[in-house]
Amino acid sequence: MRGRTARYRSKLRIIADILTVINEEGGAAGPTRILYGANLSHERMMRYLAEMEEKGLVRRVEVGNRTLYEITDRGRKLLREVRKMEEFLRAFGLGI
Amino acid sequence: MMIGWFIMLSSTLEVVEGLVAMLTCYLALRFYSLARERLFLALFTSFLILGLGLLIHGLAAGVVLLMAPRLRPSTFVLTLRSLALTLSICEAFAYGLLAYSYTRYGAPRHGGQTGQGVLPSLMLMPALAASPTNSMGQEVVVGLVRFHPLLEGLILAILAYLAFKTISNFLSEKDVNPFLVSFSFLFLAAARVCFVLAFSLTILYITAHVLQLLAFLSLLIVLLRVVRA
Repeated sequence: MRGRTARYRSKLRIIADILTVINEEGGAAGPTRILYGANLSHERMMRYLAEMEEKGLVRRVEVGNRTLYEITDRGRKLLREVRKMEEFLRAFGLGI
Repeated sequence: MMIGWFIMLSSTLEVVEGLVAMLTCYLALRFYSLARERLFLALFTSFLILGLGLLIHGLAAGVVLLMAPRLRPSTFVLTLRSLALTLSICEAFAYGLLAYSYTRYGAPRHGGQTGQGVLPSLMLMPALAASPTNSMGQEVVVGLVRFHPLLEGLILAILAYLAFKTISNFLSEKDVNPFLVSFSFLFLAAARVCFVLAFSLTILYITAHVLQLLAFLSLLIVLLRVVRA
């Protein structure tokens, strides 16, 4: 049961980390920046980005010959919710 | 006269406190739908039970008070005692589950006691006159809205543990929200001490309710700060 919990936690945390990196870069970031910022392997990052794109959290845009990932309104909303959730847990002294 | 005032005060404050608990419950549910973490489910369940307990007791006791002139004294006492037992069980379960969330060890338990406190009340019944609200002394009043000092003592022990955990958290975090949460549980524990002592010193019942209200208002401020974060 704890294993399942841990999987969910890390997934949400990783998604939040990716969104944070993109947000801090002004709303759009390239794969290399995301890879370092979220501390992920290339393969794992691409898998997450594909899933996030499918869920409408980020969108892929081509600028010249560069690929960037933009945070969407839905992504920003999720990021705000995650921050609220973390603040709620921090207030109570609970952690997931 | 006195009992009417007591129950009305108790009911009003419990409804306010119940609404704050339900708001916390809503927020926990929102976070559960986001993270699918069992911790949020436990928080949701805990505050749902606490909120329901407070709302049911607050509203139902108010209704019973309004209907008091038409009720037999025995019915009046038994209804209030049953409501008090329900509230105590809800509180014990809710705070117990919250304590479990902190420890993540063992199963939550509630300290329900079957009818132990009903008997003394039933023994008082022959002394009651036709209108129950006019015939009871102050010392009897607390026994109508709070079930039993032992059950209150059990809840106090759980709250003392929660206060300890949240104060420890505040001392390590040193931020406003952890402070408000620790303040909230400290006041809930202090209120519970007053509830226990109120069985012998009635005036402490009011102090207890004021402290409990302050605790829930503090929690409300935390919720508003989290929502606006």
